[in-house]
Amino acid sequence: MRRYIAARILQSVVVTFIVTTIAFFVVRAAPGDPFSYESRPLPPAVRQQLRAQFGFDKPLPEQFVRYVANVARGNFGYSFGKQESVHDAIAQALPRTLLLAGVALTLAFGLGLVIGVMQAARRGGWFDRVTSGVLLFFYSVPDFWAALVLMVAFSSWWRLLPSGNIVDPVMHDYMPGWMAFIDRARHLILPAASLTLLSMAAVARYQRAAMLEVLPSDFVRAARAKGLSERAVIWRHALRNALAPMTTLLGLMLPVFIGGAVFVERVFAWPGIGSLATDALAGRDYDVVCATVIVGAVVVILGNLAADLLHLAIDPRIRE
Amino acid sequence: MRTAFLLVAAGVALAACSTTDSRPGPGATGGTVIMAPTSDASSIFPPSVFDLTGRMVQDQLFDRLAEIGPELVTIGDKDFTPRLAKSWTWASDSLSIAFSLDPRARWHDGKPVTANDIRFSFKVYTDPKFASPVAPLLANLDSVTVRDSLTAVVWFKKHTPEQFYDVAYQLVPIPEHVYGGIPLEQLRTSPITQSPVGNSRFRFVRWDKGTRIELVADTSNYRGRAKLDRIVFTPSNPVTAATQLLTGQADFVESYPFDRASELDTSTVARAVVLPNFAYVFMAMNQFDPKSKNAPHPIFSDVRVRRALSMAVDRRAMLTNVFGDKGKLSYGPFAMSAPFADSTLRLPPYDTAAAKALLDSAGWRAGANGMRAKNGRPLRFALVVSPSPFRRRYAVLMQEQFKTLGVQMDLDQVDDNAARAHMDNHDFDALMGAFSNDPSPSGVRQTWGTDGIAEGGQNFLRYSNKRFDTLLDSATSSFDPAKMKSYASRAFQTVIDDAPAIFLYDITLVYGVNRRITMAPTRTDEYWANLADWSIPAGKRIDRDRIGLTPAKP
Repeated sequence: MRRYIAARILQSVVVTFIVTTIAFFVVRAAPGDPFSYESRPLPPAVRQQLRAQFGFDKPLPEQFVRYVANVARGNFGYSFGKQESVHDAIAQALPRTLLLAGVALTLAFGLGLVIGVMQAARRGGWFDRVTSGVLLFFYSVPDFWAALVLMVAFSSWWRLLPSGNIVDPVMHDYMPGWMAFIDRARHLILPAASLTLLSMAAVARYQRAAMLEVLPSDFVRAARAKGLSERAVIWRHALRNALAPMTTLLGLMLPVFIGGAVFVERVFAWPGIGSLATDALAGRDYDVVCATVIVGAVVVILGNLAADLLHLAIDPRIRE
Repeated sequence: MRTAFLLVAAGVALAACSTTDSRPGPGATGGTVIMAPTSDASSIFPPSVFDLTGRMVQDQLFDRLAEIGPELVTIGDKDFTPRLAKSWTWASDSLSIAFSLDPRARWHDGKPVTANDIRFSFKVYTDPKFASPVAPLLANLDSVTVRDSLTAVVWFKKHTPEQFYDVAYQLVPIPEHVYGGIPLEQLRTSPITQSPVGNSRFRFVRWDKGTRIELVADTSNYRGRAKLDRIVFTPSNPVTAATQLLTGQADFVESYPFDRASELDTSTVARAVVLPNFAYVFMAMNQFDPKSKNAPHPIFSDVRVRRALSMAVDRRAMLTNVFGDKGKLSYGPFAMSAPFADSTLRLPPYDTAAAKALLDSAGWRAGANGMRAKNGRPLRFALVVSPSPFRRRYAVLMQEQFKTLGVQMDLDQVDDNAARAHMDNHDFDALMGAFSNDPSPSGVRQTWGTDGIAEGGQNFLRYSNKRFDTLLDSATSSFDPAKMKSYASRAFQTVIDDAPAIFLYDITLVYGVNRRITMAPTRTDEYWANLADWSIPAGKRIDRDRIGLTPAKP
């Protein structure tokens, strides 16, 4: 087990390095630099001065070696767009994205699992047919479009929920603790719902298929023969055995959540890693682009590793 | 020779006094305005500010030595009103101006504003170690000396019509006692610049990156308390910001989506405000071959072709098609809101018959398929268009009109950075471009003058005409505003006759503002110039307007 984990961590380091290398060179191959596109164009002398100050005038291989050395020491560079260290920019944005993606992930897997089980238990019935159609609809909808529709419906038409930001920019700080919590939760609902709706369909479909594979098994028949209630058979015995594929899906879905967050954060003005990355890409903020790629890669790799370990823990056959 | 002394106009002084001395009564002040700019500020420290949000915040926190008036007259000092400087005196040779600082002016930490601060600010702005983007605009300033604690003398390299504007408009003083201890090469990245100590009618409270910048009224300000209690800037994309405005979550949205502007006509929460600005859009035609850079362009080096294309498009019909009744036609290489604009210039008329005749005379003749060619080369070129939906709609409309003339225009749709790269490398046949003027005609020199061709200059089209340069020189060196305008008009007519571009429209921006807010008069260069005088009547205030100046919980 230890060797397996060590090998996976080593593999993760290699993958992160490759991804970082690609990001480093691709973003620099794109037209412009951090000082090229401003509302007030920088004079050439100033631009040159800044390029020299931040080391962008050096040959690319030299910049790369220096960048890798700095990252190895935990220095991710300086954001010209944010006028602060990339470390600080990431430290502010990452928890917001993890909150959003974490809530969405929990809801998607929680609800998707329940729906998938209920569909399998009532295979071919009206519940199975209706929820399959509805979930397929959400699965095929582009994430930014779904986010816009939710915003228009719940914020603009019915005015039930705020349409952007993580909290009320003025009143939040004047609210008592419980109201501040509700305020934060209200701002989280629409972006989290956007991400949840899009991924819940996949979870439900996987869970339904896994359950349908398990339900005809001998142990399920034996449980029924023992006189257990159908609820106990489904939720206590069949589901436990149909959970293993979901851990694999958990690993597969992480990039979907991270990628979806980019669009959803943009729509709801949610200042997380996705917004940081898109702003950095537009402004050619090199160090921020590379850092967000590294963070994204690390989150996905660690998530996959955790899913694999979970899979190992719950399925003894794999350990052998 | 310029007179040695300048008296601040009595009316101006009275106006300044009335602002300073009037103490608002109970209920006259209060309210919170949430501004929703399209992006967060990169910097709010004046010497390194380069984006609009940064400038907007900077101008609430920091006063200049003197403030330009609503007419934006950049010549001399007649249009300027006192700010940090309560008066100023010109030297007999006009090569220096002594600014007498208002003794009541205080930094927000309570320390007085002194002449040392002015000298220090000049050093930060102009020292290459700091690399301020504003430095080139202060090129005519030689030095700043301190006569006494309240008198700073600004020395100039030469006497020009805009030397007062150079120092008063471009140099924003910062406190030496706060920033002076930091080496200049480290100042730009120092965290201390992110919580600036200003001297204007709002004080800095906090900046949560990407989320909000909060300012509150400085109740003891030497110019009087701001009418509002608080301004909060929350960056948002235009679509989300529009929804926030309509639901009362935001109070002011810049660049309200043009195609949704009608929502504001029926909204009970917000209303539309159309404010002028200095930007205009044109289709640039490269007179040089993009492949060999210095060889003439096979199509656009001929003025007859350029003029023919200018005459082939119905600019007024396109304006209506794209903007409805809210568009503004462009009249040349300037925006109509510029102080030196002239709507009487002779643009190539819309005349397709004359356009065809011109192309025929230039040797571009229509073939059997209707497309024109010359010596076997078809009259076909590519137009680089950035993501603006309006520019793209214009591009499609022009494409159709050129087609009827036998000209094929292909559209090359790119992002802003790629468009910038095309401009920097002069790598395009035609390009949808936009320029934004300063209040001064000297900015036009950078965009259309031969001076602007140098590397990093803004004249990406490499348009050069000695007559234009000479006339614009005469305009920018004229001390008489009427003469300046006359010279500028003749210079602009020269450009129009050369037809290096088809001048299409002035950029019209629709702003959305909550109906409970009473705006103060705006200024074309900075709509936020009088933000401290915006107000919210007591009867219209909502919860967030009533929290007063009480600090939030930590």
